[in-house]
Amino acid sequence: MDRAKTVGLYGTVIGSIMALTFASTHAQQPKIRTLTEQELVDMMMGGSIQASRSSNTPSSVTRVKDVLAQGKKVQMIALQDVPDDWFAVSPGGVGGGGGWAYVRDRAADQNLPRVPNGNALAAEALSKYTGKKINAVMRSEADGATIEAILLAADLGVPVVDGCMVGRARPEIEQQLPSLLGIPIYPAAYVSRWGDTVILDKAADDYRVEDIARALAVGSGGGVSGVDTMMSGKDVKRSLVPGALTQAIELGRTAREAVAQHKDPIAPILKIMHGYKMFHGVVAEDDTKGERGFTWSVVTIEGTHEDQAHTYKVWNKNENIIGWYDGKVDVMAPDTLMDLDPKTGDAHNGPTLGAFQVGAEVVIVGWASDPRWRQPKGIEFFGPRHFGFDFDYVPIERLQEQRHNPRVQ
Amino acid sequence: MKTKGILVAGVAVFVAALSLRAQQGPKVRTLTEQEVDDILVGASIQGTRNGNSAGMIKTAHDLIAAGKKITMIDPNDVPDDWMVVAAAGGVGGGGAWDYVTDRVKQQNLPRVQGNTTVMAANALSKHMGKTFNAVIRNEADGAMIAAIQSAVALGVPLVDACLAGRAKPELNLQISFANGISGTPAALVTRWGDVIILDKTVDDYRLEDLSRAVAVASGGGASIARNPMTGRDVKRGTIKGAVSEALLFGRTVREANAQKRDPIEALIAASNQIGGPSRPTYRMFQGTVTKAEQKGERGFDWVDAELAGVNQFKGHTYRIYVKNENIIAWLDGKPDILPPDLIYDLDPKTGDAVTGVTMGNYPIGKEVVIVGRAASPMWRTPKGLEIFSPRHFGFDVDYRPIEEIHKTRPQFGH
Repeated sequence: MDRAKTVGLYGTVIGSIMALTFASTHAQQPKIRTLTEQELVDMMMGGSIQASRSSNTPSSVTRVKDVLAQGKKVQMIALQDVPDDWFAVSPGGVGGGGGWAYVRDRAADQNLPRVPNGNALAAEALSKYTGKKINAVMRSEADGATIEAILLAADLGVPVVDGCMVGRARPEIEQQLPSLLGIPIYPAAYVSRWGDTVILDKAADDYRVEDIARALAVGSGGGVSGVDTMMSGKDVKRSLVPGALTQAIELGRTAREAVAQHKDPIAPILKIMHGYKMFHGVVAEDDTKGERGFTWSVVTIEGTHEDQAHTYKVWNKNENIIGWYDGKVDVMAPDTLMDLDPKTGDAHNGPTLGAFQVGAEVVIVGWASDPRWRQPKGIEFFGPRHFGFDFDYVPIERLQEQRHNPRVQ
Repeated sequence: MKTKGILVAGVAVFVAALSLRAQQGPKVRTLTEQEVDDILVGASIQGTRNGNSAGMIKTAHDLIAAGKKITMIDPNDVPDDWMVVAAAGGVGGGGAWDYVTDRVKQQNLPRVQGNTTVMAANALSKHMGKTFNAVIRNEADGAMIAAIQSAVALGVPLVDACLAGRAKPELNLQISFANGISGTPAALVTRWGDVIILDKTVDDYRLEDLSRAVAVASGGGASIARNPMTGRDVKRGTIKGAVSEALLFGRTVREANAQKRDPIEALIAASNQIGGPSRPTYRMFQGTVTKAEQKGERGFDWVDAELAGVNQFKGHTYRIYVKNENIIAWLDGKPDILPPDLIYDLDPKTGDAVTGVTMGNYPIGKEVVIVGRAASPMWRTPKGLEIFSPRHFGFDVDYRPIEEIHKTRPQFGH
């Protein structure tokens, strides 16, 4: 054996050992941190602010405080720190209107007991079905999904990933970045409030996952718990909006601090989001109906303050999809149109999912969505034509420029 | 040494006997083409709604022409440890979600090739890690040919039994449920190839809700394999002899027609002969269809039908409430046949089920005979009546057996 070869061999061996050591320490100790109660409370409000619809922060705050009171820990891992060989799932529950009344009535007659934690049961079922351990939980979308992800992570004793599959809330399951990148939502597992367990083994496409999950919800009194989009750590890193939970904490903290200092909470929120203030008014009309698993609203807001004598209209399918300022399109999905409470900076607390409370004062704000949503495929999934409108997507910054409405710096 | 020799010989004989028994296997017989034809007509008669026996017979003939054997086993001969599955067609979805149908058309989403019921059986088999040894029919009518197709595809016999002894609108309306045999795990496959496993449901009502919802969201139907059960459960919790009964009904009307006898009279006589005095069959009405209003909603086809009497029933009106199947009948406004008792709507000329209309419907202007029959005694138990009763369908009427009603209704003669 000549010297060069020996050195080469030694080099390879040492290199391999180093690589292995590095890999194993990396695998053994991914950087995970425990979140404080204040951070979680702020995250709940921030998650609502990111939501693109009305929501109910106090209820999420109560739920997160309950988790901590039970002695559970909530941990978070940065997106880039998720090991490649981990598997993560996302709570994929489906809510909404239009549940078959006769199912609810019969279950009430039968006095069917309810299961306490459907998402954890669904995770267990999916883990068993796929034979894979679940190492982390991902937030599918903003608002209620934030607390769902936190609760599931705490129940399973695994960290939540500091990211989001959408970056806002969205009405249809397939409207998530992994779908754009070809990562399927199935296999998925769903559990009804009474504990029925369903595995979606395979779907023709992601729209079909949506159809089927909705159907299960409609056939289960109006909702099902579930987990879906099981993916490797490698895929997690490439298909989530990074830092979405950290952003939620920052938004919640900023609004909280502004209110404590008797300052306007909206401006600092918009600064973080590079967003626009588009309207200030009072909700005059809200026509909401629940149908085949969705809440549909058409909302009219009459202007006050600087928008006196102007009108804003919002078309909502669970989430705010399109806004019109005096009849002209002002913002459209996939960009975010959000209704905030001007006093608190929190999301407007509407009567039901997506609906607006008539008589409430709201500020309409907006910002650009994740750049991947603004690519042709993203627009196909989430643009105005997807929702049946006969016009093309125009980015919010262009629409606001036409209105001479500057971005908050 | 000698002892050992004898022992070896003894063991050899024992093993030989065992293997001979294994070779013989359970008693499975191959059905003739004529038997299959009769079974399919009989299953349409048992359907408690309109049928299409000609279509089913064509499908069966194609199988036989392709060299497939259709075999059947008596439920009493099914080994206790066999796994039997109800892989017999689909769940209907009347009032399917339009936006799904529209979107799928736009997308040009391809339909899955092949028999989706068999795919469902295979998905369920894989999920359970068990092979199915036989197929059982979950209901009459279309499920009969579907069960035959599945049995042929899986290369297993059909069990001479049924989960309902009739057709019925909901999955939970099955005698297995009354006997504590779960309908799940089950597997659903849609026309586009989506595979859904119902791993566990609270009860068969929930199996029904979830399957129906999937059907409504899948263009109006989905194929299902369900009620995986042991041979032991087949013996204790199903309606035995249901396929043989179909064979008898089909043969009876065929022979009557060939001999120019009234097929309805022949059918009623045959039914009464096997049913005995405790399970009578009657000609309840004969009339022309004057009204048939159908609507599809949340997974079902609902029909409100009316007949104007002819012959001895002239001047009388019959009304039938249909939820996919005939559920309740009224003579001149009075309840005349109540669930779970059977309401057959038959063609007076052929004795077969009425044809040429959509699920559960009646052909306006056509003459129809209504034959009423006492339900299987299994359905008339307290548990059976709890599941399958007038109140289950929202009617505020107590169940009364058809034979009691028949005593007090006007007498029309034959």
